[in-house]
Amino acid sequence: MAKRHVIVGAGPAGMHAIETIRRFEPEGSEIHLVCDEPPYARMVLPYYICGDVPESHVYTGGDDVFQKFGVTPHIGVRAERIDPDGKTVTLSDGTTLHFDTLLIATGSSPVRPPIEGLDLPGVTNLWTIEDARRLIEHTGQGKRVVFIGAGFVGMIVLNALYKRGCSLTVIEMMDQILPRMLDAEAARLATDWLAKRGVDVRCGTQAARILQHDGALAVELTAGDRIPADCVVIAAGVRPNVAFVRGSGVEVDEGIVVNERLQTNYPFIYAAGDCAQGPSVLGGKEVHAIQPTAIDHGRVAGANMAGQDVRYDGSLSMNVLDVCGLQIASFGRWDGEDDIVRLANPARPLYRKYVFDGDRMVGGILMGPTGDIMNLTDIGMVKGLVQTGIAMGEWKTYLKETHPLDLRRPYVALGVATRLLKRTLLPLPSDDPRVRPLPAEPDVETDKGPHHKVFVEAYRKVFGHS
Amino acid sequence: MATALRIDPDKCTGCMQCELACSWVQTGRFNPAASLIKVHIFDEQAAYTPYTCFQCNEAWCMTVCPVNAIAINPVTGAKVVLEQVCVGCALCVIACPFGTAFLRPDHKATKCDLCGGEPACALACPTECITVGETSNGEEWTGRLAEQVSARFREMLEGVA
Amino acid sequence: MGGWAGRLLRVNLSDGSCTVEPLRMDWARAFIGGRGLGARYFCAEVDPTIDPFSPHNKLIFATGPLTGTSASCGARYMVITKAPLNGTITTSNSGGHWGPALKFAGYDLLIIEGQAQRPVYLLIVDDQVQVRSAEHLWGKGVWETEERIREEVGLPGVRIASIGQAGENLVRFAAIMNDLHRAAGRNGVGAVMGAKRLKAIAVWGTRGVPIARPAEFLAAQWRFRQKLRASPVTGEGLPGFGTAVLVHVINESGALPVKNWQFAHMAPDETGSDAERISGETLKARYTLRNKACFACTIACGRVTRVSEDGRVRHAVLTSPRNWRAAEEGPEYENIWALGADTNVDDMDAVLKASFLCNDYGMDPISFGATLAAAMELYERGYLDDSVTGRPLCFGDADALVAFTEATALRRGFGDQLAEGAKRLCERYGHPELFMGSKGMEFPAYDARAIQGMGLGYATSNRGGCHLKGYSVKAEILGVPEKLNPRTTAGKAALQKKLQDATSSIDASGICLFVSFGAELEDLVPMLAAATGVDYTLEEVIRAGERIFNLERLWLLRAGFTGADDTLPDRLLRAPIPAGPSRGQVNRLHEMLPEYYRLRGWDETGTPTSAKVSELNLEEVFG
Repeated sequence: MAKRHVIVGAGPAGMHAIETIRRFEPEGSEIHLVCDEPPYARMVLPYYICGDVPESHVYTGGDDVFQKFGVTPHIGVRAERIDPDGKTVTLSDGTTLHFDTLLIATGSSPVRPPIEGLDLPGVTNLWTIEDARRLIEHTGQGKRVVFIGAGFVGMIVLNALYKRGCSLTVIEMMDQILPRMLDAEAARLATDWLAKRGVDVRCGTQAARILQHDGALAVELTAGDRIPADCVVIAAGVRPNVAFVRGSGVEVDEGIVVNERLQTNYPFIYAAGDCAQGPSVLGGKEVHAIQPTAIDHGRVAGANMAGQDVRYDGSLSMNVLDVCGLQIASFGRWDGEDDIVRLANPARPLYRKYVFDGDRMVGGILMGPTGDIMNLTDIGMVKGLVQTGIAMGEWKTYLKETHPLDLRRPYVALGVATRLLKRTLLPLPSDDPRVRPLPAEPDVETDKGPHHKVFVEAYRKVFGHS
Repeated sequence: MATALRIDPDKCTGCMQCELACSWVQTGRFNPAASLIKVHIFDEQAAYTPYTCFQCNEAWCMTVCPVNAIAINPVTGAKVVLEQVCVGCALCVIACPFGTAFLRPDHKATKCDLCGGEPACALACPTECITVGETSNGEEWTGRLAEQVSARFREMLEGVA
Repeated sequence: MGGWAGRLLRVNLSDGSCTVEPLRMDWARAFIGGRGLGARYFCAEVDPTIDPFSPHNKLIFATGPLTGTSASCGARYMVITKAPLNGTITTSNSGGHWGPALKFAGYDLLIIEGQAQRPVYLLIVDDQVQVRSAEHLWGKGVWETEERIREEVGLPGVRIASIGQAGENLVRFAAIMNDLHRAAGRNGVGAVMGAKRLKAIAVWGTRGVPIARPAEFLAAQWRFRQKLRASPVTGEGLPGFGTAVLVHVINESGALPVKNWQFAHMAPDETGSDAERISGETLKARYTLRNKACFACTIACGRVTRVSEDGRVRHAVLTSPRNWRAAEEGPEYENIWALGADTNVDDMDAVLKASFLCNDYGMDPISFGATLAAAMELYERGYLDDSVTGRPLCFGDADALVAFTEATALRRGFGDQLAEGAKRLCERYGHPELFMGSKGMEFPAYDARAIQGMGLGYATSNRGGCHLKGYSVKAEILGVPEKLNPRTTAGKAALQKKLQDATSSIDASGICLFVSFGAELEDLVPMLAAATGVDYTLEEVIRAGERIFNLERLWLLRAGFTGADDTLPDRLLRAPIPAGPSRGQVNRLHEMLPEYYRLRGWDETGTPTSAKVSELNLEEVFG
């Protein structure tokens, strides 16, 4: 009988695992995909909400993909129970699937804060495509939207609704916005930026309940104030979807605990993505509920499920966020304060911070208007320094004492690129054209664009060749 | 047959003609801020070099993309941003550990695509510091430059009284 | 439209206002940009009789239509102001990256007016302009200023033009430095900035430069580049050795002024010094790390050099720049001459160190070296003694060179007198004849007795003793485009006029003058036309150059200069070169000047005739 892989969850971890299994095992095995939703990219929902892309843009897999990878889909059903000893998983439609390897990639779900009125119409999370549709229905030019929670998800939705022309208020329990992405100083600069754009940010306050009032909604704060709203967005954080695993014998801590091969305490059961607690590149095991980790996990798990022996260095926590034109990127242990470089120009605002542990860079924050920072090599270079954990020696002193802005020199002098170019996550290069082919045959002329054409033609006119 | 940029930092004079050419291709203006190749100028170590996407094997930008907006051109091997697909989430910018994926002011990701096999920067380079070959020499030149910059930096440190 | 950004930025430091104005396109067309357009605005706005240090003086930074484009060497900006050194209109030119940055931010010109109460610096990022406090930067050198500003602004790509201590201290030959090593060097433009309490201008631009006719422009710039590549000077000489290659060339022509122009040939048996020790070849073999280009430059004449271990130990100064051990750009030929040959210090370590210090303090090494040489002659002749100088000051004293570089920038001790320039120094001690310059500015590195045309150039340059406004050395020594005999005066008036006009056009275009070693003005015209979309012809561009030169001249005359100032020191006119290949030569200015006036359409007093003024459409300039 053919070897059978069962994948639970069709998010980025699950879908990348499937793709990777098929790179090593093009045929001869079965893949079953179990998911209560069709595969789509949650990350893209904000762009759907603000009208940048149509709904069709968010889907990442359909019958064509399942066919290409030889997947048997079980869409609209949930995994309800795992029997590790019997190597079976029982689904919500009553089916019991036997597996040789199992990947649990069930992701995470939004936290429901203890607030009255969460089920009123016009109150929503933004997590699923259903939420997105609801949000589109309840918002628009001039609509009043109150956010409960100023974390990553809240802010990314806020940005989408800012583009839709909504009137925005943010309520955050902690005394700053983005408490899991920014330190206090950077948060203050970001808050000022938002205030200048008419966003009412209220930190250190808590919503007590949501009520209906005069045909609209209102958020009542514990302090007593009421904020009228047409729509309330709950963004109080997410937690791993691991309830169905508990009691099965698979070890669960904050998430499902996995080793550097993404195996649980049962070597044939793997976990990946938001629900997994895997090795961190900075040491220990952590849940990193972010797209890059989900993809790494999916790929490493997929390779190992297909019989490879791939060991993962660990994931790096990182986030990037557009807050109404202010770009924020943070990496690793950005929250350190003991051994740091901090550089701020509040007027623009520009902010950067590097965090060191010994002579290694272990985290950083870069923040600034799009045009100021997103065309620099610096963001990626911080990533490279943290990712490689390279010993910086005297270059750390250079950054701290001489040129805090001059990240490029240490990066180049330390040969970070040289080191990175030697490695790939899988024992195959990722850049196989078959993995991500262009959607159509490359059209050499139009691909280069009109300005390239003029440039090269002028060159040929003078030199006769190129 | 793949296309690759081959770089010899010893030949760079820091003239920025590559940035000018690249920005022209991107925008139809001379505007180094929009260039995807960046010249590093390290005056104290007398080291200069152009620097852009290595078209690395790991393709961090491509794998991390949630909508598969970065794909491989089978002719050149370049990882190419598909503008119509990109939503501008900037994950590629933070995932690329080389710092060579960018976000344009119009919130679309952008990176070197080797100009479809005819890189304008190489045509523009007056000293043959940037040339076009079939394989990248990224590991070699970055290693060589790292040694040179480190050595001169150490000399400088030792000199401080 | 292209080439031009079409806007100028006006900043009034007295009231802190920053305004953007559309460019006068009729002026842009007639004066092209850079030196020309800057001078047009300057002449329209500044009374020629004002004190250069008064708030009424203006400081204009001007790019040309080719600045910031891919045209080879399109890196230049000009500084136009009334010169503190000598009261002329000055048009100081610099390369690097700052000029293009101003253009990318969307400005052809930046006009600085008034005077700040407290030290400030200007931050320009596209349309956002801020006047920020520079209290914490006052007293700092150029290196540190650039680093501090970049850090506090937080934009790694920001380009900075600043003054060092010399500008703050109103040293009359203080320079404006940009990108650490590049200088708008002469006439004391940095002191105007100091008087305005403007420490620096930081710029970052993302708007870019549009081109009116792209296909045509790109082809023209490739052709231009091809031409430069093919020339022996711009294709081999300058890339191979930098400007320092001239030390031997000029010395062997007997035209290298030594000991405040008492000699014109450096040789052990004549001057007790050896040109070999400060030659381009020595620089290349012992000090040069690599070549460096300015923005868009395909020649790369810049040298990155480092002082040897000996030099650091031997020539200690009190305030070393903190990047002292690092590599620096330079020295250029002119620096080597002024700091080395003119002072008779044939010690490359000391010359390099003094040159680096000049960059960090923001000071013109030509005027400084020449002033020090004049002081040395005053000292050796006994007109000055240790009670004034505080130490022996003989020719060839390397320690004195380095020590006074610092003392002059900081106006310490005798340095305070040196900071006034050679003319004031020589007058102060009763020997104005020892001042080697014209119109109050010290000469550069070519003895006009050995190169007749250059003498006419010095005498008639609108900013005083300057080689850059009519570099006839090109034809008379280097043979570009054809070799002329440097000893004869025939044809030199026409040569100077042609060169002066062509130079004015090149300075207006935003391109480096060095392209003229490898290309002709006619090679530049197609780029200018295609970039701007104006159908410039060669005649029109030459005419624009003539218009610019005459505009400056008219301003000079209104500032109080006369034809009598079109002259050279007695030493050049009457004292024959005592030894070397040009022994016995004097400059025969009188054989050239009348013809020059006639060719220029000026009357015998050196005033442009009304016919000439109206032919050049300059009637309305001064109302």
